[in-house]
Amino acid sequence: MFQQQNIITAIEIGTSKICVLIGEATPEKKLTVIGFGECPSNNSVIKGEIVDMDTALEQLNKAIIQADESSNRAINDSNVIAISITGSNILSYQGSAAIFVNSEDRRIGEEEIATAIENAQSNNIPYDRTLINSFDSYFLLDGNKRVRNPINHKAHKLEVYIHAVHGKTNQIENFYSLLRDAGFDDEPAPVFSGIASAYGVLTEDEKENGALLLDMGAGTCEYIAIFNMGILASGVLPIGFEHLANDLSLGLDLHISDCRKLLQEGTIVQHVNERKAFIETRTGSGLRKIPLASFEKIIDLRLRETFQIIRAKLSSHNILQNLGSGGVITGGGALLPRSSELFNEVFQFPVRVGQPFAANSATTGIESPRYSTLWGSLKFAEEFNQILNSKQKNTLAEKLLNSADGAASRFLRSLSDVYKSLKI
Amino acid sequence: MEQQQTENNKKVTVIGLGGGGVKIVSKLADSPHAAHLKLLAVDTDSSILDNSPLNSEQKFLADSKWRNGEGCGGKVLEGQRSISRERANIEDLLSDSSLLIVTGGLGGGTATGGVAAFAGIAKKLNISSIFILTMPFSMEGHSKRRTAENGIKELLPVADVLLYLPNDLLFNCLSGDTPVDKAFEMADNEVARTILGVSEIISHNNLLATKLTDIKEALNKQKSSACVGVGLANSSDGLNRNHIALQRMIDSPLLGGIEKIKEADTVIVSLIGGSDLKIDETKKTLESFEKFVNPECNLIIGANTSENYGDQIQITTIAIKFDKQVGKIEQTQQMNFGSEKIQKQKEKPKLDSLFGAELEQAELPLQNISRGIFLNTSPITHQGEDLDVPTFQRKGIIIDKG
Repeated sequence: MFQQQNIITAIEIGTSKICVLIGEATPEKKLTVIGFGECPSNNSVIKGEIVDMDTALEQLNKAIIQADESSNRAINDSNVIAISITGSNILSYQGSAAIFVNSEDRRIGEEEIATAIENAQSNNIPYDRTLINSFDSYFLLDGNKRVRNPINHKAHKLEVYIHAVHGKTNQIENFYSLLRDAGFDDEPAPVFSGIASAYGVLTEDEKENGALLLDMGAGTCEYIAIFNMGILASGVLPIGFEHLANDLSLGLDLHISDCRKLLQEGTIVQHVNERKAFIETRTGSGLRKIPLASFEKIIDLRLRETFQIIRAKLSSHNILQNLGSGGVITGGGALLPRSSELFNEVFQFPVRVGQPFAANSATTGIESPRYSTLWGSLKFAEEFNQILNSKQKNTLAEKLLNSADGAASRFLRSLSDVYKSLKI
Repeated sequence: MEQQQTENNKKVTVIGLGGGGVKIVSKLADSPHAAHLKLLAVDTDSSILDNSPLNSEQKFLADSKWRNGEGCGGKVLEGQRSISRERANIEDLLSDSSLLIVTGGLGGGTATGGVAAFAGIAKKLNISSIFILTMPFSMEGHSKRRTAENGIKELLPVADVLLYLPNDLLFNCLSGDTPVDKAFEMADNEVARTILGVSEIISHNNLLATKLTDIKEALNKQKSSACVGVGLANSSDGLNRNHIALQRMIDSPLLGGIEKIKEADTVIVSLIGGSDLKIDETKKTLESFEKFVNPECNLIIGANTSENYGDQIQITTIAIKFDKQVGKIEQTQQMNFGSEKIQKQKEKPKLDSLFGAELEQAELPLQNISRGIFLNTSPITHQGEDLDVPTFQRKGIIIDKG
């Protein structure tokens, strides 16, 4: 029983790969990875959305078995299962709400905070959409005093500013039903992939000073701007590494699988470093020499455009000046050195490649930008697990038991508690 | 002290690309003021290089293995290929430079195709690049003009600084009976002067410094057009050599008249003289120059001395004017900080995506537009463009398939 409470699982159903990560989390110890399974998606996921449920289930099962075997445990015992969710249907908004503090001594208690957050969450979402995550960015007391944790402050008026991520209910249900079919009975904890990656790769400094995280996966590009421990903006651009392969395939009359191989194996980078002028490919009619410049041009145009679109989205919200720590690029796309170069060029700020960190030694194998989302989801699950565990001791948080619908986290906070972001 | 100065100064490489470029570089080689520049003539045509008076280290026959020194025959694609094949060699040639100036006449094969490759190489080696290119005479025909414009379109996003000089402006100062070869020669001379002037602005900075970043900053702020004027005078020309130089700068054909300075939003002016340059002269020149410019404009002033100039004085002006109406493609390329502007752009194309997207594609069958593996997925549109279609297809850029 004790063990069970500390086993957590993260699942990512991505465009290129479906993977499962099992970890052990105890309050005293660092998060330790104990099992890992990975399978290619076999085109069952396109642009982050599941298109072929049967193939996806088949591959997910394989990944689960792998993970089970490597950990010697059945995942179904997990206390928390976090699943990362992405897709072009995901949108976000900055919500706010204000309440008056009516208690006699005007001290802000947990209930006031919970009400304020609930009010902030209640607007804006159309009927066919579901809230995935919601995080409080900061609180405003009496209209002018900005605090991160308002508890026990005295004020007449409490305003809360939250960042909420929501997606199409049907698309999200797809992820859930896939997990149910795979044999998980409990409702999983959903987490938006971009936020998961932020959990996985951003340092405390970056979250404090402001940073833009870009997770370039195979099908989608998630971006999230964080400043002062609060999320300023997040979103999905359904352009990913597959688009690069597709562009190359169309532009140079190559087969799509050859293009994927060229990108994944780093052949292009290798040729550039060796200062060659061509990439040679075998075709039916003989040897074909394609100028390296053509590859570079196609890749540059696509990446530059992608970053420019994101830049335009962010600058329309006046966010760019708050990104003091610059940019962090992660995801499979970060393995191409040109991505970070262009990211730097378009945004004109320092850029680093982010990958899973602060893991115990057992994580070997996932220290690549490819697994940032997966690792981040596990860290999210760890936090979620802590809430669930504390809930059993804490009478007030008992209410959470009924409503732990996944909108929870004390993301980016250290001492304050999670329930502030929860619906009660 | 002068010695020290040149050592501190970074090495500037001037590359003349293609037939026109080689001629310009050859002209530069004659000028004593170009002593501090490393000159390099690059072409695919061996006969042009052979005719050039440059010495053999200053010549580089590109792609001799494949093209046998026969030139590109005006084909842009061939020029592009030739230069990209030589990337490794060119990188070696440029490795000790800190500033690259590329010149050439657009409209042909080698220069139009090769410039973008040079921009890429400079980016890779982390060298700043300036492109000073001539647009063909309109009498050379519209097809050459179109080629040249396409070349510029491709170069614009990658070049640090791009100045293109319309040869047509020369007609303003030529009488009708000027022989044609003279006209072309004059064009080369003017461009050579301009290159010297621009390199002078940047490479010497001992008194009042103007830097490359000034020009970059001014040009990259917004879509803009720039013109350059250079005037040179020595004391034997008359009493007030500074005023004569100023007058010559204003009359300089590639500047296109004094209106360009008056209308400009940013003006960079640099004065260079020999060691006998007097403070009084400098003051007078810059003060009288200030009268020409619009008081609202951003004026950047530089003054330098160099022993190469003896009793001569040279004034270089770059007048930059921002475009009030900015084209659609360029809008996404530049940096926009104002949020209002972007909102406006966003609203417009929405209509397109609702009503006109399919129609537009049918009307412009320039290239085979395709979505490849994304054929059966729901499209994503941004500003009326289907993002699943490769970027190069949407921008109409031709890719060399080898």
